Amino acid sequence: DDPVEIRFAHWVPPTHPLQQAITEWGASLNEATGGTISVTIFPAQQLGAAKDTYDMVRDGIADMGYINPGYTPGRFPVFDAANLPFNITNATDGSAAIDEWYGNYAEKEMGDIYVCLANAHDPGTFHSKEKIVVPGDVNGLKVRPANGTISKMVTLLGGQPVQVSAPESREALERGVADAITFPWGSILLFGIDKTVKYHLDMPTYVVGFVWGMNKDFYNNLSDAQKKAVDDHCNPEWAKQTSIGWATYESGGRDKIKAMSDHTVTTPTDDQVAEWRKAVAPMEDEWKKAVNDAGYDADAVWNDLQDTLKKYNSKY
Amino acid sequence: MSYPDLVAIGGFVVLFILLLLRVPIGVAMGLVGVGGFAMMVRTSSALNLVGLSPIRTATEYSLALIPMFILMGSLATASGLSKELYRASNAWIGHRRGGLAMATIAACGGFAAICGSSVATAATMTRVALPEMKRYGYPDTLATGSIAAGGTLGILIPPSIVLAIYGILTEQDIGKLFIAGVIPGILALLLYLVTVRLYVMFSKSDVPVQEKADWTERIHASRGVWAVVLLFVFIMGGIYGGVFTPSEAAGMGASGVLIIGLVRRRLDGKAIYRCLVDSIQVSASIFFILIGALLFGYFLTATQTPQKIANLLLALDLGPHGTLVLILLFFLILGCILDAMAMIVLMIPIIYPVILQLGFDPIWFGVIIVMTVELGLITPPVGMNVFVLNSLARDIPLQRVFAGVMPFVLMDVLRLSLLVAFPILVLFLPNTMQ
Amino acid sequence: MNAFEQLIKRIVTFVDGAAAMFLAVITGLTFLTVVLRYGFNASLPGSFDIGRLLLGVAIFWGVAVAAYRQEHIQVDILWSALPRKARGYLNLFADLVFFGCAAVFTWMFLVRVLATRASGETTFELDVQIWPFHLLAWLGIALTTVVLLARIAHVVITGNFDVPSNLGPDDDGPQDYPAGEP
Ligand code: NA
Ligand code: NA
Repeated sequence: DDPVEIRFAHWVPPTHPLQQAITEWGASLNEATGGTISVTIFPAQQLGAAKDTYDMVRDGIADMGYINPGYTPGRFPVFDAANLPFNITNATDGSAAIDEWYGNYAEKEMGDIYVCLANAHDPGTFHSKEKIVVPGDVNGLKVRPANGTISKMVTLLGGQPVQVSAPESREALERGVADAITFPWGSILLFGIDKTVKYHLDMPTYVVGFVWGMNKDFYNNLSDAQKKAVDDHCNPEWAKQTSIGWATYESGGRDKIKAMSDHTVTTPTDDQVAEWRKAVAPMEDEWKKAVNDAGYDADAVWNDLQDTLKKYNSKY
Repeated sequence: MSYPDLVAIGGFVVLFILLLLRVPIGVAMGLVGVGGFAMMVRTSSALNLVGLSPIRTATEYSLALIPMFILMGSLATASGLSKELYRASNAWIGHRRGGLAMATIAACGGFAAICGSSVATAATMTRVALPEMKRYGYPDTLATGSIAAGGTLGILIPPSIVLAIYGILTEQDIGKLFIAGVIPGILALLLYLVTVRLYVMFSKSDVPVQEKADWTERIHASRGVWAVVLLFVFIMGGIYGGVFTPSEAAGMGASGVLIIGLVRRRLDGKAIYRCLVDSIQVSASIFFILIGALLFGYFLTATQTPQKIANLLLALDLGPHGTLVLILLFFLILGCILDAMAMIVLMIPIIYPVILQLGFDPIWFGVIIVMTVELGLITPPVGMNVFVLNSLARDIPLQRVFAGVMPFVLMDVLRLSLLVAFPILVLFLPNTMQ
Repeated sequence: MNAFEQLIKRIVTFVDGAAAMFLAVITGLTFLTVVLRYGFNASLPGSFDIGRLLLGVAIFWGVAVAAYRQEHIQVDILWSALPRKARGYLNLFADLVFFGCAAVFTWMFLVRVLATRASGETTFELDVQIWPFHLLAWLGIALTTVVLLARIAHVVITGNFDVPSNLGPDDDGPQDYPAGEP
């Protein structure tokens, strides 16, 4: 087989656990193809803006890319289900579930790329200056949301979304531009936000789903053996495998924060969780409407996701 | 030599030829970037890059600070702030030997605090200060030298468009960069004043002295300056204290100048409209270069040139400071023919990885490199500040202006050495922001 | 000056003013955001996205005006050393290159705008469709191409290489220092 190089674009710094995941995935693929496929990683938006990753892959500017569909609201309505709150409890088996579920719709929704796999980051939650336990506590707060979906949730709960980049969020919180933030746990420590937010809600509020996409022509030009090797690296097991490093990193943050004496970590009761679910229920309806409008049977898609999550023990 | 290396070298050669043939910088960089990307990857991908990247750049919210800071400077000029600054500086230091030139420097520094552009600062102060110095019979070398050099304070003292662009290209915090520029900017101002003193001490030509202003005039003249001081403190304090982001600071600054101008009845609808039109023009041509630079950057990334040059420079094993001096010398020479922003957008993607690997602070380097490219604005044969001055004062030959800036260039080199030797001068303020 | 050039001049004048108004709106939105945040503990939903999308329109329209007034930054070192006639040829060459690039840009950007429309991408807040803003911005790039075509046509048809810096003889260009020099 002809040796080929995959130019893999992502948008986090090379020090991020994701870089390691891609490196390991690439090394395994390289071995499986007898060294004929190698992966070169272009981190930190070197080949283009984070929001453009899907288009970059489609157009062959990058051969592969790490896509955050939440960056382009309205564009991938089916995939948005993965981002809906109070849905998924973990990023490892949960990623396998998302991958298996989205495999049924990827050809239609992301048909102009080869969807290798879909996965998620470890669940994020509210971290705040004032205690948040029930949905009513978000009312009137300025919250830095993770993405468009969470932004809608904040608005729904009567809060104000504050749009700043992840690195700017520490300053935004320190100066009172924001009162709370939704983040996975480890990132709170990574960005030094633990100095400002002392209250944490121990509830898998949301995950952010991602897609590893490959340029279609690139895939089609591979030899049959190479295609098979790629296919073997694009499945629920690899979706799980590639999310473990980051998930471990993030969930490790929860234990560290719990051990800090000046931090308060609150676990909501079952009634309180029910209250949260009820408060965000309109988002599910809104999602179903958008998906129906896009020509899918929203209820079927939704039930499929729920069943798959149950199968992988990651239904919240 | 590998194929990517050949394409990269060829790309630079074609780029310089196109630039010499007076193709607009943004077009030349974009064309070579896309063409090179097509050779490295494939043509259809390169063409799609054209549809993707420019609109993303133009709709990047953090870049909105560029037109708004330009608007602030433009409104400040229209509301007569530059004149007032000159009058106040004059009242305080105009009576010393070389006082008019010193007052020019001081006024440039004051104006720089609300204007992010060197060329705009030089152009504004030429109109205000040159006629005065001519009237008093100043030697034209000193008169034009102090304006051209003083103008460079526009990007040395924050807010600074070039510093902001460095921040965007390297993903560094623009607020921190601005705060880091405060002490070096003030140092630049003081050293320029010293330069004028040294000039009049050692110059053979006669520098006339004007009457000392009395306290009534001093107080009267300073009344107009409070607005500038207030605005600078407001903007920089707001960024330092994190009350607002740099983009918000730009919006607040422009609105602030507008409100002050309206309250003092210095601005009318027509003037405001004029300023808006000017600012969007200037911004569009800056964005156009940035768009080209980013396209060129993707091409360089695809050839992996930056990493290779970094490895090459590191292999020379000159040590961090040896390599740094080499880089700065390269920029100084390049600055003779290229303008400040072109150098930043062209070379930062290549040099920045080296700087990081050498272990230098990226905020500190931002200030250092802006100080270095700023020199290019006043060094022959191509110096934008000198050209602007020349276009406004046709009777003074170019070579006289270039001769006039020489003492300031020497002082710039001294200041640069100081900041390289004592990084704390740059990093003290931003470090207290933590 | 023929009717075509007159028409272009009028369009450019309008675009110039409209881009200026967009800048006023962006600045005003920024000001309001800060005032609302500290004064009233409130936010302006969607202002972030609307501001940045308007910025894109204003900048691309400004690019067209700058092309018309020849205010895009160029390196003059060789040009200024040449005799008058040679300068004219150099101008024509630069315009031809610029025109070619602008034409490709116009085409590829239109493809992108249509793709964005098909994708249904919206803003984070308020669910505003993004493509109409991109289409407005596209008009600026299309106008840039037309402006350059007009200037090239002017030179080729009249055979006069000594083109003024813009088509209109009494066009009150913005400032007396080169645009865009920071
Ligand atoms: Na300045
Ligand atoms: Na120079």
